[in-house]
Amino acid sequence: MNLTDLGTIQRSTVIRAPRERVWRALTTPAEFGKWFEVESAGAFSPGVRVRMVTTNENYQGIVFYITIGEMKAPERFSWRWHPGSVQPDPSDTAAPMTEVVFQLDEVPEGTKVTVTETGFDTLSLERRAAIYKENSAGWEYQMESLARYAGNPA
Amino acid sequence: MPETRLNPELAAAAPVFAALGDETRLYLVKRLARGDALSITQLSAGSPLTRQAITKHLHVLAAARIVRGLRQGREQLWELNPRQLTAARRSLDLIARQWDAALARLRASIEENPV
Repeated sequence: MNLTDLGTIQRSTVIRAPRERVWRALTTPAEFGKWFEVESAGAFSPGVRVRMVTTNENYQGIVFYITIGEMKAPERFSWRWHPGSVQPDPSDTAAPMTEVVFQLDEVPEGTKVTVTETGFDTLSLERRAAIYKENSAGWEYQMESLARYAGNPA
Repeated sequence: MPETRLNPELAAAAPVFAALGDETRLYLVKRLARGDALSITQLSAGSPLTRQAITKHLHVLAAARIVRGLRQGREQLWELNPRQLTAARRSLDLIARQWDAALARLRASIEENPV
């Protein structure tokens, strides 16, 4: 087993659309909100902290923030956040965050989107425990969601 | 958070991550991941760390059941417990599934509205 695996998650998918189209879905708040199932206010730009509220029927009204990192159109978009719906105390500004990076690559079928989330190895025990607990609980819902949306894998 | 409320597998994985959140311990685990049980002398060879420091880190790893000590004659050897690492990886996979679902929704939303 590769041990860096223990701090990193990487997933990818291929979308039948040009990179510019995918870029718009990632970085336009209205479009982002639709598939990420959140509402947010204000444009995305590097360095900005964006407040988000979840709209998913099972996890409604949870407030969280992302801090936008890089926006290199149409290939790289990143943010930092506290993963999971149980957010650390706002006064705890030193609480470690994970970084989420979307990389868009042109492929013959369209655009390959790779999301990499790093930094799980820096989170405190308590935060990990909370995240695992909720992810474990969300498992059934997520599988349903996958089955619903992944009908036509590219 | 009371650990009894956690999924047992996930609760078991949390101390594994905590124990691995240290460069020296990751280094020791990588050395042991090659398969052979090693002594502290072997583990400290080629490393700037003292035997005492390595012993201390091995005990943290042992408490999380990532490594275990074996006695071979008069020598104490250490070996990896791969099962514990696999459990930790599985807990990250639960989070990865959320990304799978999010990417599937992204793909669907774009392919339904291609322009």
